[in-house]
Amino acid sequence: MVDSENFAIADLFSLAGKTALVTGGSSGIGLNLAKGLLINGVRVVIASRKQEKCDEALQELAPLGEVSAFAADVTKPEDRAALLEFCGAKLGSLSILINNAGSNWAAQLQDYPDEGFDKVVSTNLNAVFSLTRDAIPLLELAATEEDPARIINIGSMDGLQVPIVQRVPTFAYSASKAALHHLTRTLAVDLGPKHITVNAVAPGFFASRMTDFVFDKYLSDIEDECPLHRIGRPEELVGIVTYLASRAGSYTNGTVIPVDGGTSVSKGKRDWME
Amino acid sequence: MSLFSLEGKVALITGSTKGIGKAIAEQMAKHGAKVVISSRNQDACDEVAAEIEANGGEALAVACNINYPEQLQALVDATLAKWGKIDALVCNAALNPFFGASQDIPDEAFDKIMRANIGSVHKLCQLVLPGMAKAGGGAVVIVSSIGGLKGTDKLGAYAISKAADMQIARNLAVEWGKDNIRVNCIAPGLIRTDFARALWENPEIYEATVSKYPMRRIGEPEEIAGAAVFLASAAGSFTTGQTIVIDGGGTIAG
Repeated sequence: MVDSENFAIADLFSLAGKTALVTGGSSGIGLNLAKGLLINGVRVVIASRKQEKCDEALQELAPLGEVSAFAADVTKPEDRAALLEFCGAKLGSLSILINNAGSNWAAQLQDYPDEGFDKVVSTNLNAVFSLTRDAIPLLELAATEEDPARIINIGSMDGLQVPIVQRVPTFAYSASKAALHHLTRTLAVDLGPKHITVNAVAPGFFASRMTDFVFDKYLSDIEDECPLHRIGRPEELVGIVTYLASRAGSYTNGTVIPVDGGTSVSKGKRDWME
Repeated sequence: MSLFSLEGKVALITGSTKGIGKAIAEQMAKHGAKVVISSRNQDACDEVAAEIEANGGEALAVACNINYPEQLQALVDATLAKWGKIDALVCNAALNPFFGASQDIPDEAFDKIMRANIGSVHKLCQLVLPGMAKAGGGAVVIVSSIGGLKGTDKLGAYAISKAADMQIARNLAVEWGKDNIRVNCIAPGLIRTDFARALWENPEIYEATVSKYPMRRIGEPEEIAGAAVFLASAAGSFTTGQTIVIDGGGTIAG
């Protein structure tokens, strides 16, 4: 097993020839992950609810590699079925499934509506479970003991700890992401024997449509609470996903990896900046 | 792939003549780093350094017993004398001289484990981090163990030292983040190394062990090395204070 060919740079982190589905792939983190995968030789399908968003993203992605887009609402069973059929036709099999589509609802507790809670949990948790379950046959087609298929769930730092300052309370979001982290572990145990790994990435603050309004008001507070004193850069999520999807990450299973500049291990707003 | 490149960087890896440490050194060299090979035995260090150079890498061999602070100082000094900086510090060397109940461990064995496993990580960081900060930042990777995540009836003191690694990573991540230094742990499960030979060499013991792991196999050293390269490279530049468990899912299944 230990020989120079196996240890080549291109080999350990290589994604060349793999296939991937990225949900929520038309903007923010999902769009950046799709770019990273394409640049590194992965054939990609992105999914997003709105056709025009898909078309816009496709314009940006098409020069980077072999990519197609499918408009689907992953909370709808018929859309999920159509999406997976599309992936089967376009890609043949699925070596990487990135469950990135998510939604959020922010309101104070007394004003937080049931429908807001349901909407967030059904996108961030229920849809991930259903899509993953239904994608198993396509993933199995790509899975081998040597090179397992990979499921990567995009969780959140908010699913690991509750911010000391609840700037914008997001009860459903935090709960759904904590549940997604544990779903990741449960699926990892179940799917390991099928040569499919399941891991989650828990991003801290990265620029996306979801965070713009928070940054407008709270960027300096957010930086103060982060040991690295900044928000994340897009390539820092491409990095962890590349690791998890490549041979380098092929024994990493059932983990939740925070990529948050250390915010979640810090005790809160720091006094050492003075 | 530039995201994982270590071109131009200097990496010091303790315990790097065998197993996980050697795989980390080989991979870091393959990804462009100049590497310092270290373990107690100079001949073993020379041999691994020569292998790496034969494969086109750059390596420096410095024997060091992590039990002795003055030898840790000499290791750091030799590295700085040769290459002038340390961009990645990989604290991998550790020992476990006792196997059995906590009730029975002799004081000397307990002290030795704490001094060697925790003390050397702490001391190396004290010696290396100020210079790393002055040079604009860098990465520390501590090789911990899944032993530090759960209770054990046979490896108690060792497991305490491995849990301490994870707290060192959190503390130093908070203390040094402003200097662009990141500190993380890797917690390997059962990996095909000499250290764990008894658990994988016998097919019956092997099958009994891996039947409890979701992936139904043990890991290879390079599957740990990948995470070390990730953590030391631009790909890992927003990851700090964390412990990355690499055990095929063994811990979450147990």
